[in-house]
Amino acid sequence: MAEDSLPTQSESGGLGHYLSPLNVWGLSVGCAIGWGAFVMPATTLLPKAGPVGVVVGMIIAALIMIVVAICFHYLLTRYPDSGGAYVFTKKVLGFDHAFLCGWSLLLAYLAIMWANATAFILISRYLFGGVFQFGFHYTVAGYDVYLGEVLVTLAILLLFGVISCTKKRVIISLNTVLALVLFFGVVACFFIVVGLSDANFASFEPSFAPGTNPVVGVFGIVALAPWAFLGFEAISHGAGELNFSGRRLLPIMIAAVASSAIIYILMTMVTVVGMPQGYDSWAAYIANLGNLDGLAALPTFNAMKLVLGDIGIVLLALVVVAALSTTLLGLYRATSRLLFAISQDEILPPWFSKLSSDGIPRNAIIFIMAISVLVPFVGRAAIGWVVDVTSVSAAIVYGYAAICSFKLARQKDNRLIAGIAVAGMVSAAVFLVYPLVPNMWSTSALAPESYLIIVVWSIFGLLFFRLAFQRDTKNRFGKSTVVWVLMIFLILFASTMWMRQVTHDDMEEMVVDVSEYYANDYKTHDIKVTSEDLAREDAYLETETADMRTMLLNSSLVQMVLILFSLVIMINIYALQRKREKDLEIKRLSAEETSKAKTAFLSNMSHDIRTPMNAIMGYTHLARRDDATPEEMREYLDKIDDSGKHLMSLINDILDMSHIESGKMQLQLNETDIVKVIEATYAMFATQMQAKKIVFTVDVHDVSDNVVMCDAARLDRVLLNLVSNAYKFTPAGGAVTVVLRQISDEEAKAEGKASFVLSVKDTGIGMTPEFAERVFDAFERERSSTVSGIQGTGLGMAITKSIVDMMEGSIQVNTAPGEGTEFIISFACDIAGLQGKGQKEIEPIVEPRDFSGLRVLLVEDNEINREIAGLIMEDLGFEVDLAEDGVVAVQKVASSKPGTYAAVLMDIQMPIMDGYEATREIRTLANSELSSIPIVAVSANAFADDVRLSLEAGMDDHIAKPIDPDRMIQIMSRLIPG
Amino acid sequence: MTVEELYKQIGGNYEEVIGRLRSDKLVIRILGKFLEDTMCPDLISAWKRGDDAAAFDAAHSAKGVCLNLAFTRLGALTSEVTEALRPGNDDLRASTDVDALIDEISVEYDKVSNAIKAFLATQE
Repeated sequence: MAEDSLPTQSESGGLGHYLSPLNVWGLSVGCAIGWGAFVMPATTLLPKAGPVGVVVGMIIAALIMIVVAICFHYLLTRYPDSGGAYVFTKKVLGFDHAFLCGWSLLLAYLAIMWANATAFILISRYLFGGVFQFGFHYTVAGYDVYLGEVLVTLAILLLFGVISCTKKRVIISLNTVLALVLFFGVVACFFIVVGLSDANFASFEPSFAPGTNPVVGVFGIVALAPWAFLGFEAISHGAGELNFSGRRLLPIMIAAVASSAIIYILMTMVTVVGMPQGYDSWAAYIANLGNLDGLAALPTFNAMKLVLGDIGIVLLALVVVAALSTTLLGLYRATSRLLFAISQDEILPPWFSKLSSDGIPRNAIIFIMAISVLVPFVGRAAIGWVVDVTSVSAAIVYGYAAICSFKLARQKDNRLIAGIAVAGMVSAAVFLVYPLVPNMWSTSALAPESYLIIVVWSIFGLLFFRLAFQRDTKNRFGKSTVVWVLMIFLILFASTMWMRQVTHDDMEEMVVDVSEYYANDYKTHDIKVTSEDLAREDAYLETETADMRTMLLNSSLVQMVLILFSLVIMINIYALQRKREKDLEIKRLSAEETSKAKTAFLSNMSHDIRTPMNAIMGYTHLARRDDATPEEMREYLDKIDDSGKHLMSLINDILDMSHIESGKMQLQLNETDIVKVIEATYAMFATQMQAKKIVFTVDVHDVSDNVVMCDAARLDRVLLNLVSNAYKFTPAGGAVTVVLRQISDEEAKAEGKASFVLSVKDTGIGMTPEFAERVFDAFERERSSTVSGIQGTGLGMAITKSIVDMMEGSIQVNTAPGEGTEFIISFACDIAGLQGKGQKEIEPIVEPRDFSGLRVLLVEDNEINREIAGLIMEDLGFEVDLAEDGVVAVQKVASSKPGTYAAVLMDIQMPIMDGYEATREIRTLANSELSSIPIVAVSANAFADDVRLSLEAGMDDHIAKPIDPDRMIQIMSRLIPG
Repeated sequence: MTVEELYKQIGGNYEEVIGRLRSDKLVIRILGKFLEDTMCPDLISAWKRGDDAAAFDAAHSAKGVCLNLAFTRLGALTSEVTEALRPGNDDLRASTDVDALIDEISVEYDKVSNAIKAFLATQE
């Protein structure tokens, strides 16, 4: 993405995609191969494993690098960016991990750059002797630093920096030519040396390093892989600039890894063959290397001199210069792109991501040049310590690449890549631990200084992380505590190891000192000791100090583990605390939000109530005028009626909402034909839909269990809300479709439930995603609806959602502006008893029935209500007895002859004893005929939970005031058998 | 003046009440009882003295009476007060101007009872 934003890519001659496959190969090989390939065979590879061991080890190492290459390739086809592993880690694991990855990459690249820049002077020493050794001079860790050589190295560093700032195409062509010179030069040197020397198979004896286990030797070579190949992945910083498909990158990366391995192997062979005369075997030569000076100490050059004389040296020097140059060019490029990518994320100042007119991050290159200025002054020995650390940082980077591809591959269900990534993760873990732990598999450890460098680097990393965290305004950092722990672990572990190495060296000196002291002592006191005695004494001292060292190391390791363990707990506590604070904050905010919404709702509400109220008052005023004609009068009344009805629905909504809010709403499950409910909706809306020219369809699919236990009134309410909304927001000529479908759900079926999906779809104006998110929130309404007039209370959808929630169902909405809206409700109901199945529940038609001769007890405290209810009951033929409160009612029933009263009509709210209490008393009467008398609640409260309370108290039915005579006939017919 | 005209005057639903009580005579009989009924005055006085529980009981009864008599306007007002005062409906209570409603009930009750008194006077 960063590369896409390079401003001049397409305008200035298509510089955007300019990397050919050969360019990529050159970049990759060039970065991987540097000075090390020409000296390491003698200093590191051969002493570890011998010629055959090196070949086997290098091949295995190359295979592991190919695993890493596959991970890189998998990631960079998905994120073709200039940031490489940093960007992959950022995208997959977040910024915390990306920081550690980027920090590691920076250290690795800079270290390799510096090592190669300072290597130029080494070649000059071999070729020209001490020509540049003028000016002041000092020694750092045994390495002589001369002003002249410092100046030459500085010039080289700056020269390559300046070259890197010039035209991209020029640089890349130069790099490719140099890479070809490097590879074919190495091949040519090998054939020249092998062809012209008298080397034979015997020269390669011993095949493995003498005195070491071949397997351990090979493992030692493999473990060097991240160090030896570091840089081959630098091409991931150019994935956005390829002139061919990113998919074809993998074979090129594999070719580059293979080429690098070949170079190492050939140079190892040259080293073996280039053994000067006077040595029995390569092993003896290599063992003596430390005591040699000049060219003899540099076997690859020595070999060339043996076969071709000075020309050979010049030839190889050319190849080495090509290797150093490609490394510098490639890493200047990769490091500057990395800094560019980090700066684009605003972790580094924007200065770093400024581009030259050619699209080169020139400032980043200048920065690299600036920090490299110090390097020549510290000398190569010190740079060597940094270089040794790069295996650790490379292992971190490769580990991240493997983890990222594993995570991605798992998401995409790509098992092959996931498997390869696991191999990559395991290798990276081994690479990380191996150089850190001394004496592991009996190979050498890092120098004490290298451990110190890891500590310093990690501490700087933590400090910089702190800075980035502080500057981070987008809340991207601080998500992962793993990174902190990893950095703290590196610091603690490396400092422990540093201490161990330092005491190790000191103790070794101490053993020597003590031995000398005793030897002198024996001499001065003229005590005769044999050399065996001395040796035994030495050995004793050695084992004692070794024990001491082991003890020191072990106890500091234990200490480190304890500290780390407590740190992890502390960080965890801290994270927990932070989470809690965050939760509280969220709660506070949402409470504020709700109270704000409520205030807004109230002001909306008062507006909405006032509007119809004003209409009613206005038209009433008009209607009162004496000159109003009957037609006008009717019109006014119609308008008043409309407004009144609207106001009523508003009040109902508010009451419902307050019920829902206070948790009082309860479902009343009854045997319901769900298909009937849907069809009733059709009947209700058909006319008005037709009038608005909306195609209104109701479809019922696969419903086999239509009679279910369900709150028909509430389901109806849901449908009403959804369909009336669809009607409201669908313009003329649109369509509204209601579909009910039963889904086959064996699990639900086993529990005696039927699962349904109900969809209400329209072709209306739709909603913005922002509004769709809040559509179910109470008190929310679209701004436009207040503007465009009275559209509703803003509660409809909240009520709908609450009802669906109570039905333990779910509701979702699919919508986009202009593309209509679909609400989908999924819910399950108990299937009603088998006898009800397939039957339609029809409200019994009310037939007048003569109740004459039957007597009811009417319990009611209010005289008017008593009178009215009495009149209704008398009208139906009943004889009516009265009771003015619960106590009287219970007395009357208890003292009556069974059969006197056919039923009791019970008011709920009464002084002295209320209806619930009275019912309970009656139900506990000793006489079973009296205690089972039908009792009907008569109450001004008609909410579902009032009905439930009545039924719970033991009443048989519930009728609301004002009493509807038809309903009364229905109930009485049911309760009193005819 | 007919009962129907009276109902129109006091904001009631004549059709509803006649559906329930069947004859004007019965309606008139109960209208007389209404004048003796103290629920509305009880509600007003209970509210004025700050007795919420008594006010709720009175409102509840008044609501039943008014709805039974199909005094639509007075019924709606008393319903609203009942719901606002119902124990537990704190939110609704907070968002309802009960004072204003009681004032309205007071005005409406006077209007209705005066109209009924006047009407009954013409019947004798």
